[in-house]
Amino acid sequence: MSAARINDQLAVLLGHEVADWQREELAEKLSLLNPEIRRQALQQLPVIWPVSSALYDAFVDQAAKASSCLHPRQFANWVKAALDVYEADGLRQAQLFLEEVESNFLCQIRGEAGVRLTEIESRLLPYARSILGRELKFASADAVSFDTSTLFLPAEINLFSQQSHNFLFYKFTITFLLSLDRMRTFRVQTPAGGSDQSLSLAQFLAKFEHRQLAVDLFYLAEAVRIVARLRHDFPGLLADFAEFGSALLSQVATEEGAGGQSAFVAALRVWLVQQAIGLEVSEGNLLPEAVIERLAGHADGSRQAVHSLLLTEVLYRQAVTYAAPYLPGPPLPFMGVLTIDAALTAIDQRQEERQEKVIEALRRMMAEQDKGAKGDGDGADEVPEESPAGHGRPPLNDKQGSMLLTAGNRDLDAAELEKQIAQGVLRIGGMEFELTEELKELLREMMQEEGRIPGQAIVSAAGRPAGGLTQAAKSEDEDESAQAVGPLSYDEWDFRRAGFRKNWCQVQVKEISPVQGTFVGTTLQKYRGLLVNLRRQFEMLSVHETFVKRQRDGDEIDLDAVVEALSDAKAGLSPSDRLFIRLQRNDRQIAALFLLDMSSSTEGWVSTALKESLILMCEALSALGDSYAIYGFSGMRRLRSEIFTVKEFNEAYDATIKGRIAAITPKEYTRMGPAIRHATGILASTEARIRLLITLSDGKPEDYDGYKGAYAIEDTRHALIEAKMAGVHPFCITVDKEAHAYMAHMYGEVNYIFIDQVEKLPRRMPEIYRNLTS
Amino acid sequence: MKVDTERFAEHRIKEEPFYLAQGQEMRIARAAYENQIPLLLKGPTGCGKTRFMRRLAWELNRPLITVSCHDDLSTSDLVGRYLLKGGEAVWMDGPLTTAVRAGAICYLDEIVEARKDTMVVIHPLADDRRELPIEKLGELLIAPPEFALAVSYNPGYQSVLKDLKQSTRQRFLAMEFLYPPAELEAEIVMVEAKVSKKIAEDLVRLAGMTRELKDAGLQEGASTRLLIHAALLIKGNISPRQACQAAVTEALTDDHELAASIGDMVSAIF
Ligand SMILES: Nc1ncnc2c1ncn2[C@@H]1O[C@H](COP(=O)(O)OP(=O)(O)OP(=O)(O)O)[C@@H](O)[C@H]1O
Ligand SMILES: [Mg+2]
Repeated sequence: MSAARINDQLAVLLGHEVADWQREELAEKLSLLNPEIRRQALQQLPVIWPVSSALYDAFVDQAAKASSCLHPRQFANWVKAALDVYEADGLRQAQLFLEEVESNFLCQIRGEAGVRLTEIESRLLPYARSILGRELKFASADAVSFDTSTLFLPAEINLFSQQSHNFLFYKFTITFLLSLDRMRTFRVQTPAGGSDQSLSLAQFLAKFEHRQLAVDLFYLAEAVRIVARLRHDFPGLLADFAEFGSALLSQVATEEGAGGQSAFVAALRVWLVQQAIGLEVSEGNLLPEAVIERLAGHADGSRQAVHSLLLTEVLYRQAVTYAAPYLPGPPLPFMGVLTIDAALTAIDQRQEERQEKVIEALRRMMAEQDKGAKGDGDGADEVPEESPAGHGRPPLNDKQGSMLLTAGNRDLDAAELEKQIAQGVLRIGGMEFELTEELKELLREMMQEEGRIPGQAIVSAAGRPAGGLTQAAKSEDEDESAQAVGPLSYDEWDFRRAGFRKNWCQVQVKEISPVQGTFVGTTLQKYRGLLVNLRRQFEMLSVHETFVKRQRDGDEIDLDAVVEALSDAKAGLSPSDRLFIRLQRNDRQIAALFLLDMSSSTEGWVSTALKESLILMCEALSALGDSYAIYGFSGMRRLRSEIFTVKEFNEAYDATIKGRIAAITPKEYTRMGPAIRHATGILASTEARIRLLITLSDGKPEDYDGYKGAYAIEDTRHALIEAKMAGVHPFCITVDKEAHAYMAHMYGEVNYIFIDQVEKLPRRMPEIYRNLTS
Repeated sequence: MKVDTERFAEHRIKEEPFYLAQGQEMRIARAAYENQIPLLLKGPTGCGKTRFMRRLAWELNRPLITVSCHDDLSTSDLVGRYLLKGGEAVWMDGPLTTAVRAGAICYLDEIVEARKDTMVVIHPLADDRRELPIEKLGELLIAPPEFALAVSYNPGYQSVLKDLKQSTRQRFLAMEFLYPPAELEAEIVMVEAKVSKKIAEDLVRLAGMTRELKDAGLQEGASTRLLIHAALLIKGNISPRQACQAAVTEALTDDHELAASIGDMVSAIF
């Protein structure tokens, strides 16, 4: 439902007493909720609003979170409890009560030991990423599985009577499933030999008459191998699991009655769980001696995925000796199901993306090094490739071209490539390129995940020498000849011709009209504890360099200096007259300009979290006394780059500024170059020792016209170089998951920070600023 | 002026420091020394820079004088000053001057912490003039060939106040130190803390996982130094989980959520 329609609905519910802006703000918030929660929230409106509109606001803020742990039926109870707190202890306590829905309410009424995915996500996601070594997602699903990009986990685990065990079971499940990727389960192939072609996993499994039986047996064989490996890599995890894992046994054991092939599979499951909890194989296990021996051998910690294929054949042969056919039972809860197709799709997709990135990066590198070799162009309109020979590296000749082409048919020799990466160069077609950090990282990742570098990637890159964009940029720029004019026109860097497009972009400065509302108040309330700390920390920063020693005059005598002067005098030297310590108010002299990407590219970026961060930053900076300004930017083609003034350097942080922050809303695209150039101009004309340009962004630079890809990145990079030349330190805080691919190139490795969740921004931003300036 | 032999004798490294080379760093450093080019070591905290310098000094058989830089460090702190002793003004060499006179290796640790104006005194010493003017004595010291200057800094700290000036950094031969590859790092932990290979390998695996946490808000992952601390505690019969809690988790962060994630890594491994 759109915010406008909700607004109409609210108008009916609330009557006309309520100010338009207040209703609009609320409608906006409600529109972000999913329909079911919104329905719940609207139902509670007549209950809470008449008591306190601020409380209703807080309720809406928490509704999404609450819905992940409260059953819809419990909403009313939750609200009632909150109103009780309100009556007894006032608004603030009631808001806190709502915020802490998980601990305050959920446990009270659920009274269970169950653990929810939403509760563990923020804690176990970093854990999972650290194991996998790359990004991944959690999603809740009925069937547990892992497609190598997303872990599908149950929304709640309540298998065990103790909460800590349920938590540990999540952790065990996650670690187990991640192993499917670490141990290359999906990528296994039968060895080629003699007349046998090498088969993929899917092809191998298709050979069996009962495919499902084969799949389940294969997964069990892999699980045995994985558990053995976990015992080596994560012995602590298995020790924890041993304490409660036996409860799973009773679950599997009850299915054993089924008889025949199903009983065989169930017995294998029992064996696996016993292995995981470190039990000796129990008496009366239905498995034949020979099978147990095979399994034990398979669990020696050194087996490869291909051994599981062999074991699958053995187990399958054994299974079909039982008469009763296979009826698949429920999988072990930590194993779930093996989604081979989904995993292969995800692997392919990542591979393609990575290959595309490698091509992009290679292309940029080649263009860069070409340009470097040519020296400074004069900015003429010619594209470098067409310029007369004699400068820099000649275009590929036929021989090199064909060498590249043959290279495309086969993978680059892994050992050779490894060596080249270590040396930081790439030799190809008789040319030598210096590898950028970004490329090294990408190639390494590629080697690690795929075990090879497809020659195709490199050929594609060489085949499109930095020109891919030329046409796109031309055709989409409807008005090539229009010139930007006036003081706010800026050049744009075109890396293809290694020169500027003169007066290419027009910047328009716009006002944001402040809104009044509860936003600022709520934020200050919400982060009250944090704010106390922030103010203290930032005050300490400002006091940091307060005492300056060896001054000509000051408030106190500098004893060290006096002793030294006396000694000098005694030694016959003329003593220094800098003998005082002076209390200097603030010698930081830092001017910081926050540049806000207001594009609407990613949903929810220009969000509460972003605005809250700004409020916290302003509060903290007020304690510190650094001078600062805040601007937003957005763009729609080159002649309409917009800059929104939130706070200028000489404006004080007051109600107007707060109102402007509250009024920030998403605009259009991200043309970064002109915004950075504009901000650099403002900073350069500011009195300060250190000039900081802090960009807050959620994605790559991109505009509606040809401003995208390498062109946009290179222009932004150039704008940042210009900023550095002007004595400005650029820094970027980004929430773009793809950031590592291009940020280091634009800003330099140490000049950006990636934050994995927007919600963390309010807490992280002041901390980042503090680190940056101390 | 008499060289105070007593004072720098203590700077001589008597026992062979254990240092496991990661690559060609020792050869490069020796070549730099022979050609009288000063050294700049960069790298994250606790990755072996200081240890490397000790080893180098030992191999070259030179005293090593280390100065930890801070923002109150003045030129006199480095070069020297007159002190009053029994009513007499007595000149005291600073560590830098001592090192030049003794033909020692002077190692300025965390050089970016020092104020930029202080660092200017090393400029004439760090280029081919190799001279140290001592204004108060009216003396110009020329460094003997045995003298060497080395500085270190950690480029990972994203502070704009702490960047090395080009005019400073371009006087040095620079080497980047990173955490050693897993097997080497495990060997270092084994030797330093005298723990089993298994414990060392497990600790190194933990370190690897914490080093992936940058995006989750951790500035730096666990350093080799922290691993050694944890190993020492384990060696002292403290349970591995507690040892890691104290030596790694709490040492790395104050953030409770991050600490919980690191705790989960610890309890998965130990
Ligand atoms: N290559 C190595 N060989 C032997 N020991 C090492 C090596 N690398 C690190 N260590 C161990 O790690 C510890 C920390 O190293 P060191 O003190 O040299 O770090 P650093 O780089 O100087 O750190 P900081 O920047 O914090 O001063 C050393 O005491 C040593 O035990
Ligand atoms: Mg050190």
